[in-house]
Amino acid sequence: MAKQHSETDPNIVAADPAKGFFVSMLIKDITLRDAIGDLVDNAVDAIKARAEDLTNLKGYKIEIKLGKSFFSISDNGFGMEANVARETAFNFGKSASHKLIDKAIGQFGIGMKRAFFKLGSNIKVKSFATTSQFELSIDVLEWLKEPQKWKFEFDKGTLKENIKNNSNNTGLEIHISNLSFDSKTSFGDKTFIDTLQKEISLEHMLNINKGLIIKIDGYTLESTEITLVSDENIKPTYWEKILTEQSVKILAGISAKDANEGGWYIFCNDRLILAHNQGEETGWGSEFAKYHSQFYRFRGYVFFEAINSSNLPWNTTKTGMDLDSPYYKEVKGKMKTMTLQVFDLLNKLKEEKEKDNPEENQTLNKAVTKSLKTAIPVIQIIDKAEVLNNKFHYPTILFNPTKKSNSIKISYQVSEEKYNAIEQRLGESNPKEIGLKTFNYYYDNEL
Amino acid sequence: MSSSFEKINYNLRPNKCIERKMMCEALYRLSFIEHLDKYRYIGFGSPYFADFILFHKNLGITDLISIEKEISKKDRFQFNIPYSGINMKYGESSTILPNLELEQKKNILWLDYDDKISDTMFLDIDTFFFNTMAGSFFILSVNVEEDFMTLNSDDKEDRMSIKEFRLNELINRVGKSRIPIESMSLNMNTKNLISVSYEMINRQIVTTLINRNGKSKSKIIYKQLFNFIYKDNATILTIGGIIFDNSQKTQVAKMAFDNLSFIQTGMESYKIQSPNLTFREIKALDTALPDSVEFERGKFTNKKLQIIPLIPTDIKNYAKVYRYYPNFTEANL
Repeated sequence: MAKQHSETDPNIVAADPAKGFFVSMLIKDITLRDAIGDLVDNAVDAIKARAEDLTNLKGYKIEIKLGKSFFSISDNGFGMEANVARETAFNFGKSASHKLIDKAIGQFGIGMKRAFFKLGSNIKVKSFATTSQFELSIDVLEWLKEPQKWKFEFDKGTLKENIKNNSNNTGLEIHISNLSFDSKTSFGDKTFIDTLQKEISLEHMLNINKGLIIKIDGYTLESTEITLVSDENIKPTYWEKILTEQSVKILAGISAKDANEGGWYIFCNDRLILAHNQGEETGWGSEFAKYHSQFYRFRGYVFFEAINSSNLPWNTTKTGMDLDSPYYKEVKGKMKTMTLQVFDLLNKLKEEKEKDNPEENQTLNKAVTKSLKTAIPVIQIIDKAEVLNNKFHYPTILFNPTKKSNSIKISYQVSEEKYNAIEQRLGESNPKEIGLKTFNYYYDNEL
Repeated sequence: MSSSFEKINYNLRPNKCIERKMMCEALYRLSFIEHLDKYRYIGFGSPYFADFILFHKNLGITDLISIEKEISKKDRFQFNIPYSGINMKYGESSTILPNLELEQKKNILWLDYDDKISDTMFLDIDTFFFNTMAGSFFILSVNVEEDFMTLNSDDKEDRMSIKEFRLNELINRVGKSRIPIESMSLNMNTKNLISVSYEMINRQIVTTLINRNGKSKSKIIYKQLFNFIYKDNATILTIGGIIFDNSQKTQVAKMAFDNLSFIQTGMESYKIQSPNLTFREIKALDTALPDSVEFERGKFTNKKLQIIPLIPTDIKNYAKVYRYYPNFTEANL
């Protein structure tokens, strides 16, 4: 960083960062909710680094406490080795290029520090890893007072290295006090906590499904079920592209008619990035029709996986996709095709209901309604996806719209006075019925 | 509104008939990539199935799919299916095409729209170019006849000029964002509608291929081969070409499309204008052809052509299409 020689050498121009500015920039473009999300993502990474079987996370736990004067998060993951803390984890931006864990979701080398500053100013990190352990305290306000000091120190006497800790007891604990104004007000707001619980349970639904326990403010999150119809009549469409370092799998089909749940879901390394998306990011209203009631049964699921998480096409805050990424453009093209595949059925269901087609004739609608009751979890379908192909199956033969009828529509206007007279005589108040009755009267009597 | 097949007998569209035969001749060369009996033809057969009959008879394609939106006339379509290899799919092409597993087979697709250019056509282009297997062939026909104003507002302030009217019609059909910015000030007469439609279709193709190719090394390429214009009643623009990848480059070069007179790889259209001729005239002309139909000092250099009492333009137009000229006659079948 800035050295003393800048005062002596007139050719040197100072470009060192002002700490206060740096910190305020860091926390400006992240919400408190996303800052906590980043810490959860890091904890999930640490757990996956320790887990032997990535499909089974039973026995692993993340707990978040939101107190009046403190925030804490603890996990029983891999812990943080002292050399990782020393060289990369606390360095701003460095861990982005330093791959710590395969298939990670906390990748940007900035998430943890940014979350610290956002939450509060007294931070204590306690790590218990297999070959080392340490405690590290940061007093942000003190740290800001020393503009040249770009380092932290382990707490005196806590560092132990080259030891053999019991691998069943590893983990990381972060405790933050002297809360920021945002944290203090939000932690006292039940709505904030409720939203946090709901969103984290959505984002990590796949991990919770695999047995991971996430507890927030005393409440253990439950997994949200994502489902699709897959039976002998209706089969979802499936597409995959699997390379050695990365893969993508896409499933699309139908499930229960629900305005909020319909749309596209995109996961990156098991972390949900877009939930029930009905916007232009996934093509709605730009590349194909706007989302509306006809499509409430549509569901599409995209699963990106990458050993090196920098190959995932998400944005840096993990709140959406990187729309300029060639990889996402390619996948989005396929998503568009698959959306249209399912639209074929949804359009026909609508057409079959049109023109007063009697319900008993709506054979396709009836079959679909029956199938919708048997929607099953997507996880079960993707395990057996090899039997599916890139085509949406439904019983086309059952499509039974009304034939163009042989009737003719008449429409005309009459004076109110004459209308009222006939209305009284016929004792009928519906203009359509009155029109029909008077027409039939002429037909019956004059022809 | 009735369908175009109910208004015109497809068998009596001489220019369309010529276009179809020219296409057939070009498609024959796809066998450099793979035998044509391995290809699939996807089209809009309507009850005449003229393209299906031609391609089945001449190219030997047995896997044929006809997309038909008017399910209410299903019985009539089923009745008219000329060969058992034709599979009917009822619905809109925009949702039928995606479900045809286009990446599993080499496809010859002819989007033979009756209508003027509209938004859903771009969905079809996108679906095909994004998914179809390398070695496929794409053809699209669209009505490019200029719009006529039938009604105008009585209110002087609301009156539209023909130019505004035509632009509005186009915006209604394709949306403002598709129309190239430099075309917004044009009068969308037939001539300009041809160039704007051509441009919009090609932009979609380029965008789709960029998305499809991503960062992959094996790029999918589109080479335009058709750009026909003809008018039987409305003016029709047909564009098309081959979709292939790097590994097929040598085969495509062997196809030597350049030596077919009607191949057009750029913006300029090949005009099909078949003259109306008597059988006697046709017979006489045929004996003089092929010929370069050179015209010097007021007459053809070919003596046989000199004695035929037709205007030179008709003779020249006939010489362009004579191998594909339809034989129409009344027959009691």
